[in-house]
Amino acid sequence: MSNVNITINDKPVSAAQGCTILEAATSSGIRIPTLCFLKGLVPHANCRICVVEVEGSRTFQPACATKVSEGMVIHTDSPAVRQSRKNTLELLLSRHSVDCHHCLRIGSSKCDDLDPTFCEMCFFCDCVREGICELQALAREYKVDILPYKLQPELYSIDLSTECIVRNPNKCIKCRRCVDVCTNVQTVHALSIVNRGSDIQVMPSMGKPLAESPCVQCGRCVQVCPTGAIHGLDKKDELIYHTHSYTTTTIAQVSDDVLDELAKLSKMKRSELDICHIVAGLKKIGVDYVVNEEVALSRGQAMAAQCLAENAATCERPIIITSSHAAAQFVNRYFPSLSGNVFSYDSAQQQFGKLVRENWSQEIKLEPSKKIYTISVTSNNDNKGEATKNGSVDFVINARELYRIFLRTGVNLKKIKKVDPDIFGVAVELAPPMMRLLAPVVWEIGSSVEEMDVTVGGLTLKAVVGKTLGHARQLLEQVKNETSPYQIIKISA
Amino acid sequence: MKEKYVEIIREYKRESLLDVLHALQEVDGYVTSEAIEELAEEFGSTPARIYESASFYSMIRFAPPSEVTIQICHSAPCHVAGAVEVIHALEDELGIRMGETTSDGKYKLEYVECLGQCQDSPCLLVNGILHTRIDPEKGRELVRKGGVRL
Amino acid sequence: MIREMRIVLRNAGKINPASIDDYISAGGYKALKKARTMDRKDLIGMLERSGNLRGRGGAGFNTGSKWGSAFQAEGPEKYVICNADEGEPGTYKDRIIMENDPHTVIEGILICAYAIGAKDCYIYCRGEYRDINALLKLAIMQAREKGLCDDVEIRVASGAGSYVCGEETALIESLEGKRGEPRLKPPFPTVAGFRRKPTVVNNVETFASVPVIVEKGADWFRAIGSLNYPGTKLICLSGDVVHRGSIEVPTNVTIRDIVYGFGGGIQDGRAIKTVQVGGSSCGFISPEHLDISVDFESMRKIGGALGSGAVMVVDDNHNIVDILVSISEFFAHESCGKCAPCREGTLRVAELVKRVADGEGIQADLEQIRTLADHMSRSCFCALGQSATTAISSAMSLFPNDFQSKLKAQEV
Repeated sequence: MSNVNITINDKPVSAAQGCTILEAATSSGIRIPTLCFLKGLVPHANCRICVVEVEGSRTFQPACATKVSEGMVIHTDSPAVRQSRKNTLELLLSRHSVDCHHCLRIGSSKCDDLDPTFCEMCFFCDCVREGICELQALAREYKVDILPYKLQPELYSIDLSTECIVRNPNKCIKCRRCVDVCTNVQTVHALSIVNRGSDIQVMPSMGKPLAESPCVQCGRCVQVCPTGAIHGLDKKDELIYHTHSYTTTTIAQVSDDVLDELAKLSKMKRSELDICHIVAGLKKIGVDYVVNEEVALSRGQAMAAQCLAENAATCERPIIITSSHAAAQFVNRYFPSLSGNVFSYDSAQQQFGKLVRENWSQEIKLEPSKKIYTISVTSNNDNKGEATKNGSVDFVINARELYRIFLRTGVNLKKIKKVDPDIFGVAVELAPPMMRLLAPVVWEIGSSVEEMDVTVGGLTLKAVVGKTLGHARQLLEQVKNETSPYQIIKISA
Repeated sequence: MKEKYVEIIREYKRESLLDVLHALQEVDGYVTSEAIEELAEEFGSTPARIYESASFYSMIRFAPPSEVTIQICHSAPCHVAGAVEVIHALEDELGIRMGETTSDGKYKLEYVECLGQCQDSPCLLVNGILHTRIDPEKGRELVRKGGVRL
Repeated sequence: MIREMRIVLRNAGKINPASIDDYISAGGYKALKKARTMDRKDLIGMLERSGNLRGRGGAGFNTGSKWGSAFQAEGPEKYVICNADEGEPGTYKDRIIMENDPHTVIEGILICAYAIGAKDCYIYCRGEYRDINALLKLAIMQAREKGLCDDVEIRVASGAGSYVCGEETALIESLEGKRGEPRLKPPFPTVAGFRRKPTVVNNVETFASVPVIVEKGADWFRAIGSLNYPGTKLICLSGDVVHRGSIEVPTNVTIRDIVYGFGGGIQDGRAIKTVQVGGSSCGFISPEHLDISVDFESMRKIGGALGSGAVMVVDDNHNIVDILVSISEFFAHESCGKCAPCREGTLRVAELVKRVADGEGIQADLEQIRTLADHMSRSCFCALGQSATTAISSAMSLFPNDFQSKLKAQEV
């Protein structure tokens, strides 16, 4: 693949043939703002924020979807393009609930009045995204102070039917990330885009409440939504109340999976942040005990290892294992004939809840008069659905929510003195191949299944790990058609 | 009803999705959720995807229509030819505004976009039947005759 | 004055449209037989180099080039789609063609299928034209029974009330059973169209012109009308003219000929205010340009467009802002909703225009309309959004007083 020579903002750039303007700009260190674009998904180019001027074209071109060609001359930040982006933002914000646009504390909407660091600490703002909203960030950047249109009142009701994933259509900018993820990556087909023109809405299947649609509460839509249109049910206030209270005992388990996002949000290098910072922060806000997930995770994995040891060799059909609540629901909904083949083992969260209730309350001599609240800190949003359904833990907090809690309570991760986590119980040791098979999965758009050989009871068995529900569907179709080459299939959401 | 839907879907299966939807709409006057579910089943798709496509199109209805639906062409040529006066006459005769239904639920007034009959504008549809060169008096007469062809 | 010249409508009123025997007696399907003896490259070259048959849907792309691109594309699976989703307000020419002579369209489609090597063809006909749908199906069956189709299959697919499905990529999406939302271009349909295979999408009138060109030759066709847009064009008259109807004229006819010659002038002896050529997505023509001929280049020079060939005549009894209400609400209703500037912009433009038309508008509203028009014409995803405000911009520059007279009286 040869390169092509293009010019971006009067700077000569050599770009790989077939790449988009956005890719070429990013690799040359030139930033083009985006909103609907999400790496791994086919670009829709519907937000028109990434539009750029291409000499020779009367209309602006979307950088995320336009491929470079030899001699292309591009301007990413001309006054005309900036004006276009501002116009688009004005249009989007005019039909968006504006509780985020007007700072109640200062009493101003003018971006110049808002000091970024000050604003981020303010918690009077009603929006659930509280300053981590991609739309709000762009509005600030392009100084969208005045909305020149008739603001529409809240047109749609909020969908709380699942009790863990909340849909607020009044904040939706119809970027379609959630629909794409639900349809193409997760293949759940719970979300869709309906109607036409300004009536279009992102809605669960056939307009039903989310709980009545095929939704399995995998929480990936929450992960990709750029605004506060789909988010996890917010229980931060309740959590802080209990951590501060003297009449309760609170115990938290922190998963390693929050570290990446938490570091990014706190503007720290990943190498500068480890779990001991989080432990210190949580203890500072009154959490009595904080553990890492090693013990609980390993005990859950041991359950799986035992099941495999007992069944894998003798089973005629592949054994399907999962610690994901959403994945188990997915099987029940779409592959009911295979439900009997699925062994659900405890996730780290589920084990943690059990351990606190059954084992640790004696071990750490928790006062019986005090109510115990369990907090699971994890970025895997699937856990929210599981806790809501099964009541395994009382609170599930992801990286974003943890960041907001620390900001509100004045915890500064950059300066706090590290504290080691408490240790209760002993982790179970597993053989390395089993560790590899049962390791927590990182959900990523565009990932592939991972094949491996696993030795169980002296036999080497073919195993595969699916990392998305789309993989799960693929793998389960094979089992249904009796064409599966695997003996062990691990699925996750 | 399910059998009727399946029969239609299988008859029209080689046709496009919209042709199947038109045929299903003939059964009840609108496309029911049950019909969508059957359609999803027969097409190997999901109700979310079928409804996603179907809801895009103006001619596909998802709720029972009124007994008499009067659709007036809203486009520029009909406007220039005097559609506004016809609209006022209809609104006055029925006592409702465009987009509304009479309190007894019998009549609904709607806009429709260019019907491709601009040589005979203003035009309107009454329960899908075309009426052309409508003036305010003819409009009132249509209502008084209960929507029957003039 | 130039006379009407019926090429596409050569059989209209002379044959029974539901009779293939009538069509054949009138010389029908000779061109198809001739085409099938020709080398495909020569056939396409005839259309491309000499004939310069420009697409009659509105975009005016060279038909031969389009067919050539599909012919050269890789793979055995290719498609021909006839765009019969006529939806541009003021346009009814395709209905007239199909009502009077469906076989000329079918013959054109079969010639195209032969040229590019396609075995499957579709006619996407708007859902509102139910009787035509049935007539087309009958005509196809007749052609098949006569053995004229070879092993080519033609199917009729219904639309269901969506103007944007007239855009070729949106049409393809709709035909595939999805929402009628336009696709990114490139890739163009001739490379990756229906089912991502090479596809030719042409308008009804374009296909209807093909048999005569094949029969009589490219030079004959090129000698008719204007050089940059040869042949005839169906013009649809509507609005305040005496004779409203469809006429077929050489493309060097002037707007004056159309309005006063064929159209019989303005009704009730009123004066002309303006003419909108090309439908709601095109601008208004000032009366000082009545002597411009309607071919592509001449129209472009005065900042207008031939478009679909719709000619809507407006007399001096109208305030242009009232007409713009229909136009802006049309686009708001027909926007597919995919891209933010069109979805939100058409809604707000319609709101603002209505406010001004109802006498509730202020100067700032006009400024805001201009801002939106400027924004949408450059940032929207497809031609619908980009041209949704063309009529408004043109009206603002031609008739500023119409707007000013509607504004709320300023408080002193």
